Amino acid sequence: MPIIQPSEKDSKNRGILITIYILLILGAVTQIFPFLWMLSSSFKDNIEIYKLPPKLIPPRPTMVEFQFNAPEGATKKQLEADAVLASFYLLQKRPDVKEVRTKFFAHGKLVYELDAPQFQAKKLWEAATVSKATERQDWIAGAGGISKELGGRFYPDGKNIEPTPPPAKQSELRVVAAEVLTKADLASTPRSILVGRSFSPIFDSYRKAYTALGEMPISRFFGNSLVVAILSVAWQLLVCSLSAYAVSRLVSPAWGRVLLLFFIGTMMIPGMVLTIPNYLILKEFPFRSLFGIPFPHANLLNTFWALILPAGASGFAVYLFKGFFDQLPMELLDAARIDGATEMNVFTKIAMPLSKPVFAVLGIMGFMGSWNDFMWPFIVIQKKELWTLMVGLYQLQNSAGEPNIVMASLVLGALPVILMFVFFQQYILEGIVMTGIKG
Amino acid sequence: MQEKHYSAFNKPKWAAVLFLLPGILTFLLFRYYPMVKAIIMSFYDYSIMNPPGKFVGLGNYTRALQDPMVNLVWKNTATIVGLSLLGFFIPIILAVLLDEVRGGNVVFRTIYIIPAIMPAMVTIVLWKWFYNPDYGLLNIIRQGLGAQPLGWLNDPKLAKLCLVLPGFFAPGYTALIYLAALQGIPKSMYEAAIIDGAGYWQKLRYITLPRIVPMMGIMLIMGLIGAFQMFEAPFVYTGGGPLNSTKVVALYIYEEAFNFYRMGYGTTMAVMLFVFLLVLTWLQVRFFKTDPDS
Amino acid sequence: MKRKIPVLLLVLALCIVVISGCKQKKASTDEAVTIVTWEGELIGDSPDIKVEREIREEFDRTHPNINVIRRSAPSGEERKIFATAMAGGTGPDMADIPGVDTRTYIEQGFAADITDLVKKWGQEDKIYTNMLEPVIKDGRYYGLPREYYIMLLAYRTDVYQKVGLNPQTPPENWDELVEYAKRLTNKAENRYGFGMLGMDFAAWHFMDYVWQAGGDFMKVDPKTKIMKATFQEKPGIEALQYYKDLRWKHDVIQNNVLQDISELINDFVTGRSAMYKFYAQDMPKLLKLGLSSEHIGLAPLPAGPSGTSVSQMAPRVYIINPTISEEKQQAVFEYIKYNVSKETMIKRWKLQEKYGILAPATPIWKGLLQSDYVDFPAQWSTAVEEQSKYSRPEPYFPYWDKVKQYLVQPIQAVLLNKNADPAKEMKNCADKVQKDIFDKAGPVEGF
Repeated sequence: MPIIQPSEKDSKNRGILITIYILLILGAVTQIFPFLWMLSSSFKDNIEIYKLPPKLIPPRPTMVEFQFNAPEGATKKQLEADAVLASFYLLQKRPDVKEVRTKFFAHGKLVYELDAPQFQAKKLWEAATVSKATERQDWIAGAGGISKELGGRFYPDGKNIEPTPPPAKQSELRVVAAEVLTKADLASTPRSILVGRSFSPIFDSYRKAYTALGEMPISRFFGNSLVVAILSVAWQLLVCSLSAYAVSRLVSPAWGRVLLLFFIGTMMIPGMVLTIPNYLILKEFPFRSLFGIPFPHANLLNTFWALILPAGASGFAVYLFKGFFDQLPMELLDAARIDGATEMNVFTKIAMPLSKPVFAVLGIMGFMGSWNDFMWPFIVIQKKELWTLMVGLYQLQNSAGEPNIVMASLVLGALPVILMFVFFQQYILEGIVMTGIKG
Repeated sequence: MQEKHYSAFNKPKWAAVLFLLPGILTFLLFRYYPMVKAIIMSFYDYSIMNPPGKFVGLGNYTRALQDPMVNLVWKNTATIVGLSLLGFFIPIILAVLLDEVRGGNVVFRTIYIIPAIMPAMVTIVLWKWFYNPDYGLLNIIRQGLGAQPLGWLNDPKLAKLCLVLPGFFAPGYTALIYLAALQGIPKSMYEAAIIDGAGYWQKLRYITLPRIVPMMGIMLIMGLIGAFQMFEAPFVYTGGGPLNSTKVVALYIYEEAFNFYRMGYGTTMAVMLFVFLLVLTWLQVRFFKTDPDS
Repeated sequence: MKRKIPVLLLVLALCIVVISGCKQKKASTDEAVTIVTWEGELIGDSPDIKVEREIREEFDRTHPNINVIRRSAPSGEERKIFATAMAGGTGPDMADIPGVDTRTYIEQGFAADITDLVKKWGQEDKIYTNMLEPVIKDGRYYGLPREYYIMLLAYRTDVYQKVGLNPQTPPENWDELVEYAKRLTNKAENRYGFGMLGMDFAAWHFMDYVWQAGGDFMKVDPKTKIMKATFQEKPGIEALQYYKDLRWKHDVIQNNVLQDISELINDFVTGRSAMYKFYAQDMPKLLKLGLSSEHIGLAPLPAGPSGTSVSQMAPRVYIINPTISEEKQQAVFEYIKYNVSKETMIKRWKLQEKYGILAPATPIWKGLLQSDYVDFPAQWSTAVEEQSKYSRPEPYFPYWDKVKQYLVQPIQAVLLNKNADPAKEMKNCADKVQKDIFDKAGPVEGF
């Protein structure tokens, strides 16, 4: 209950209330700001990101547009080659240019255009290059495919777009672009060079994080984390709900107390003590030998099993489940038993549907716990393909990860948790309260 | 209170056994067995390639007691835990503030909870960036205010504080636990106080706060138990540096076991940590018992 | 019905055991031997990957019965992860490791004794003896080095021009380095002159400075054969004082002195730093991150008070997992043989040249010279040639890698604390090294 009751709205209390709101709003700024910062950095490029003073709103990326007169009777191939050469040379020389557009005109009509974003172009030129010395020929040879890949468009009948006259104001970038064109030695003649802004490259860091150029497949880590989190939660709910149900309903009270102690007693064991032995146990799971008799065992390290199986042993989950099952009306369960239902049926058909809230709370808390976990997956998984996102993030920031990709990956790491909150707010809040009560 | 739960129906015993089997196996395999194994390992100079290695009796324990590094990491850990207590009242204040909000409750709750449920790794990597002495936000702000830039994680004196500082900015989770307790305070108590002429501060002092003292005790000990096991933050922020100033117990255990291959010694220190935390847990259980809500 | 779920669980649990068991069996009955190596994956089309891919294709062609799966040992944490994996029995069949770690891994039993394989191969006489030093213990072979790398000074030619320095005349000695770095430092543009390594393996870079100052790290007492620390003598102190001055007196290095090598590289690429100490394997990284090779200048390390610009030679070493079958070890050795062979070496240089990422290297083979086969940019090759004259291998006395860890303390002390006394810090460190390492190690032979 609020301390200030609705009945006492005098001026003094109003003052206090206003102060409270001001404090909360100021506090809210500190809460949102880091996230906004992260978001904004993820939209910058790696040079902008270091600039002082930093800007919260990232500038729109630079775009250069070349307009050419296509030579009389030019073939498709020639135009493609010119477009690819002009774009690649400029993009290679100036990493700060995020996109190069080329437009070719014949008789005042647009006949061919190609947009080459920096991010995609780099991959394509690397793939096309056979050697540094022959890159020009290589690019010409591959131009058709590259144009197709980048979505170059031909207009056989010409498209009615007026070519832009060259702007009067000279800029440094236009001079560089003109130099590049001279060196590129193209068949077409340049008409004008425009420097502008483009919007879509702002998402380049996300595109890179998604493909990550093969080195740090963030999307893969993301998927791994999802799989591990979902399976861990499912396993935990299954194991703990069955046990808790038995403790609550199937055994004598005396046994129930002993078993409950067995389960929730594990909450006292700190994770650090279990780390090393658990690691060694998973190496030869479950045992190398049982009382001297060789036992079939397998090395579960470097597999998802090492992350999923231990998640089943949650004393907290058993405790919550048991508390909930204790409150289910006995009559309902017995009624089903009278009808001859098996115990499994009683559990799945009656107890479970009635316990949806506790399943939801534990499911969500378990998911977030698994998603956020770092130390255990870091220790048991060395295979990169199996890393979870948190391990991936750690490695990424550790190994010359480009800063904007790191930021984009951080946003991706936070996203599921935020989405979860948006969709399951009620359960998360309930869960928080329950954690408090459990102590 | 639960005698009745055992229904009159004669349920086959094996149903209970089958229901319990996966749970008992899982708990035995991943909690009790490793616990026992840890204790056994602590008596060995454990060899990875040829387990279990040489039996050394209490050798690991006497060594730990004499190891100056053990001394240092416990001191570091205690200091960091102490520093983290500086932020102990932030969630309580936030909860008291949130308690007054009527309209816009959901908005504030959402804003305040998000940083608190963010994955720790995300927060850490982001703050590591903020701390960077060259281009980090904190120094930019300081310079904007005309203050000298600081070394942050580079400064052995500041590094410990840097590990706990981000936590001060994410009080939402704990605050909501307190908030739940606050909202459970019956309206009648406040109304009675109003009749007695109590103002905001009196009500806060004599009604609100006393009701959440047990909760504060529980949160304090839970916080301590968590903080003594701190691993991720020092591991990612500093790797224990600079000059070992943030090397904490968990980090030392990890390094001994996985960097220097001394798994026996590592588990020994882990067992010692366990015993220490057991005492804390015992304290917690005592608090738990005095909690009027449970 | 009643039993369904628990029974299913049991079946599931059994399945896990059985499936994992099966997998292991399968691998050994396959006709072709599959080996897993930790030396970086081949993903993407960047030039360095193209080079390795072509070399790999050649191997696949000539060795159809050996199937190599390349994985990467995560950088930065490679040591920890390697140790963790080896302890967990999930280590690779072959690993490409920093040469300095070899000794420790031999002690830990992470490296197989491959003496018989090496002898059968019979090529070891054609390798420079001192280059085999890191992989030999008590006359037994535990691995093979591929090639050695030297350290150089890398600088941004474009930034030099911007501040009016001549890119053709890089700094030649410690004082000039300070002078240049001062001119290159510009706080308003958020740029510092010289990137310095102060984190966990700070001693890796520091070692050269001690040598340049005319010092060394240990000498063996001729009578007792016990190692004695010598880095606390005058040259070592001088080197540490230089570090301290760069940080505090001249203020020309980054404030984040604890940042690691990958961040130094990032800074260099983005122009936040204008110079840093360059390790030949960085070259592909620089280019991959988008730095144009025209903007990279290479020079010999600036000479220290001793008048010479000593640099270490550092190898990467291949080791074999001792727990794998003999058949597999043989297959791995085939692969190593292929990788270190003269032919592959030359092929690699040619490919690197072709893709414009040629990195300076010193091969292990007697008489094999990189310059006989490939051409560097003139400025680079002069730098490499000049630096090669003063290169010496890292010391491979026992526990050198541990000594390096101890040295981090004084280095960080002077970088982090304005008032630290280099002489005192070095003395403390040397005392500790003497007590914890050298005295415990006892008499050593052959040094």
